[in-house]
Amino acid sequence: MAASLLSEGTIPLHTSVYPETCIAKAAETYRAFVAVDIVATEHDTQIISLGVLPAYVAEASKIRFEFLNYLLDLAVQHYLARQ
Amino acid sequence: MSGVGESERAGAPSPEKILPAGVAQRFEDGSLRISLPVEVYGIDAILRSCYWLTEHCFIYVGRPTAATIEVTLVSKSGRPIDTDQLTWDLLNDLIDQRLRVQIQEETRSIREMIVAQAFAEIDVIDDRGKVRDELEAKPPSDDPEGIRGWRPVS
Repeated sequence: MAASLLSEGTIPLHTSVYPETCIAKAAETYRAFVAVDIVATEHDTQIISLGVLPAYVAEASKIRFEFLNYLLDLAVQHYLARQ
Repeated sequence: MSGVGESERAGAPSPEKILPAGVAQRFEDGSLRISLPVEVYGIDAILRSCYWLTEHCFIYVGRPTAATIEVTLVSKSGRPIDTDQLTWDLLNDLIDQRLRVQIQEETRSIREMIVAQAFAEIDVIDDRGKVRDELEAKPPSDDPEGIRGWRPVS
């Protein structure tokens, strides 16, 4: 059994799911909680690290998941706006 | 949303025990990852279904290959049994959303025509549902039903 979704510390975000503009907007919105760094960019994928700020380390996992949910929300809005 | 209300139902079987091998994978923190073929569900339907579940769980959508999307979800309650139920809800809702997307595509032109009519100052659709521009562009000889020459009997 694998450890956890977020145990590796980095998260690959495929741009066909999470557009780059949405990633940037989510990073800006959550900058008070997490530091979002793009550690690598592969073909159609941005690999990011979510460094939770010291004040919120106790809730690190929850904040990372909240960030991903918010990012998904932005992505869905993005796709619906195109239709 | 068709299935979220059922998420409180207890006793849902673990998806990794029911689904074909390799489709579902359990993590130690209780989260569950399912692999979905893009060809079957489509990315729009997958995103819509995931969106509807964000009230109840945390979701990450990955795309390891062009043909596959992996959805990883974990219940906000932290209970694995809730994650199991939400996974089944997601799988059911995927069918619903896929159908909605398909119907939306099939009816796109008529919806656009209705919206155009709603905002137009003159009728763009005649009484038989045909667009006026198309009818008027045809010469009389191309009027096989003889509608242009028809007059009510007085």
